Amino acid sequence: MGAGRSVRCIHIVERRPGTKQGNRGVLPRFAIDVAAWVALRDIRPLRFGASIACGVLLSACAGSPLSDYDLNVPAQTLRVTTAPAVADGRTRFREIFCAIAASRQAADAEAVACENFLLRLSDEAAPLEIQPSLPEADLRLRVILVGGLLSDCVHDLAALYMEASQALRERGYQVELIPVGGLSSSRRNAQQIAAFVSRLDLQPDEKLVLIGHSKGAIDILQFLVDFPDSRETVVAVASIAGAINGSPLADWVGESARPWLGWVPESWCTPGDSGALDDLERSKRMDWWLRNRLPDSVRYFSVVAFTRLEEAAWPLRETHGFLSYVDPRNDGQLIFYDQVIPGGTLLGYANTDHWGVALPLEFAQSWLALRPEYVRPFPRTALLEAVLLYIAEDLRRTSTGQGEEAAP
Amino acid sequence: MSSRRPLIFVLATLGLFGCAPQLLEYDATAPAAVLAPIAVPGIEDARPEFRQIFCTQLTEAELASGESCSGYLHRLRDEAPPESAVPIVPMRAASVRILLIPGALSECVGTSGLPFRSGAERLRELGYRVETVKLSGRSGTEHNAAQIADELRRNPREADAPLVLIGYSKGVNDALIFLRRYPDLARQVDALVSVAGSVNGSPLADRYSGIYSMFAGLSVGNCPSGDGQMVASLERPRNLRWLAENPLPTHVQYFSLGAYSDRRHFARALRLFFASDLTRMEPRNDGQTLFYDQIIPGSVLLGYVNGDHWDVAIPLREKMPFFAGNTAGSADFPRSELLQSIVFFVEQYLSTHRSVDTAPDHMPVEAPPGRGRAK
Repeated sequence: MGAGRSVRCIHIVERRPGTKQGNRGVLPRFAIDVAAWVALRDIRPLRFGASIACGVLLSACAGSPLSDYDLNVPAQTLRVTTAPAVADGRTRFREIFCAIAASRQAADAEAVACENFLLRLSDEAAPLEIQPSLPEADLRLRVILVGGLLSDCVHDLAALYMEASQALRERGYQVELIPVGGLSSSRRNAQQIAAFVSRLDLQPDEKLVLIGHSKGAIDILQFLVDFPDSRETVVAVASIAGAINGSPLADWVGESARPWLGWVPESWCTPGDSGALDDLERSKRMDWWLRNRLPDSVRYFSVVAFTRLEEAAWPLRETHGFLSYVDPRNDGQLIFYDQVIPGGTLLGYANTDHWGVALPLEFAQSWLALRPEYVRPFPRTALLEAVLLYIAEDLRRTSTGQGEEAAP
Repeated sequence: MSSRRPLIFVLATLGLFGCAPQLLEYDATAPAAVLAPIAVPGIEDARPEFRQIFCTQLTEAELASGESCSGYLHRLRDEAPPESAVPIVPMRAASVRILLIPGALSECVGTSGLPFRSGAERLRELGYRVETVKLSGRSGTEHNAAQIADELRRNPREADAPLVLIGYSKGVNDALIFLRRYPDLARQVDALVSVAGSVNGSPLADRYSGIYSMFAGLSVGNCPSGDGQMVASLERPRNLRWLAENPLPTHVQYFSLGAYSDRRHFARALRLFFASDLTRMEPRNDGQTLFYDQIIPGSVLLGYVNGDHWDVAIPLREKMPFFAGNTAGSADFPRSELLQSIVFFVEQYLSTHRSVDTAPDHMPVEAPPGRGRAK
């Protein structure tokens, strides 16, 4: 796999929250650098020897990632030059999310927990001092969920927002899950979404909100581009840990992973066209953003997920470690700046891994969801409800021409 | 239901265990991209037009012709075709004044650390007024911004000559801080060009700033310690925060020229010390910064030159032919032609996009974060 790429040894260190990571092994490395610099600069006879010594020593071990897990940074996106800026909805979203979370649990415990669930980066505006009020729910919004890579393989084990969907249905929402191909390309899944939507019996005042997790988010965007008629019924799209720019992991495995996908038994997953990983390559996603323009009539929202390596579910820690060399702020599958839809509104940063933000593994497959004891399960129901309330409020505001909370 | 089916989740992690790979491949033609705070403005793309001018310069110098020009200036997949470029005939009017702003450690390697030294000479022969600001090579951006301010106090803009700052590497950060810190003096500036600028900082600074601070007070020969903030001021979180919190003055026109190359074309010293870590993060880097960290938000993108961080701007090979040379054995980057192209392009751009005979009279509406010399 990944033939021809350089592979170097790393050490993934268990760290407690609040500890600084990233400087491990720096001192000896720096000493080598200084020695080499001195040789390089002043002592001519040593130059060649120093270069050889440094080359050998430095190539032996790759050391730690260059950047730390640092929350004192602004919200940021990696985008092609033609992509529009992103509006900031974090302050209002935090109000809504925390109010919902607090209404479910004891207020004293939740005051801390809410901050822990939504990460606060350096540029998030301070909350208003007045007691925030919750927006009114709009039950005319029909919610369609779209899962990500391999989602149809596990929909009966840990379906996307299984428990959250049930809770929302009890509150009067209509929530449905589209069983898209977990191994298929976005183009093929877009057709499945279109077929599903065309079968819906929508009332005249009902509109669709499409919520995609991981690759499901880009399947939805592909659907909007490929089926322009969808714009008449879809009013909003929410990406939850969406693979908007893809993942460097997919670039790495690339073509070499295709045989793996073929190995998955048909009794487990719909075979599809096996194009899922291709569509998740970052380079291809960036090309996609150059070629395609999203319809302006639809509103776009992004919830980003990332957490510390040691707080991720154990199967995701290895990939988290790999991605940490690109950026430690990742969810085990995606980097935080790759999860934001250009031209949309950023709602917040969920402090959890790629599965914890959307999949109820704790119930059905708890052995896969093993995290340190101090990590509480992410309140997915509160998240989903907060997203819907934010969208309802946003749609009301834009329909009355009041503009956005924070314009780009 | 198969009892093994939950293993599909493990498969979802792509079955990756063991060693940390380089995830991304070097793809010289992948689209241009910018890593920026969410609300910063977009980029104006002038790559075809700049290519036209640069390739003309290379052809005149008999260094390249036709498509071979792409050897010096990457052609990315998202660059519009050459025929879409608006034909440009350089004015060569010597109508602008150029202030070159060197990068980190500039004073430590003598004249070899001064960016575009011979190119500046050639522009002077063409009648341009070109100066290089003397900056503290090991000081932070606040300190050096004050030095740029001092320079403009001593030699203010002439009424009929638009002032163009051309920053190299950390010099770009120094210039950006200057523009915000000294709004009265910044009124004199018409344009800022970033060449391999560490606009978002460098991940290398994130790693080494703590270590460097232990040695920061050590002065070595012609390399005084300055305020010791050289590396700290290049930390990425710090620079990204600054960009998010400080809208840039709108009266200045910004231009960005990035740089990256494959490792074979890196100077040996850059390759030895930094290339592997940076490449694992993003293969398109110049040995010091990542390609998506080099672009000023809201700027005009001129392109990406194919060279390492040193070769594109400073003649370090004069001083250290082995360590500043590369294993590919490529010749020096045509820095003089590059500087001329930048100046000709900017001169043309300013003449067609704004009135150039008066100093700009409008300032950003945001309150500046502070005035006076930084401590």
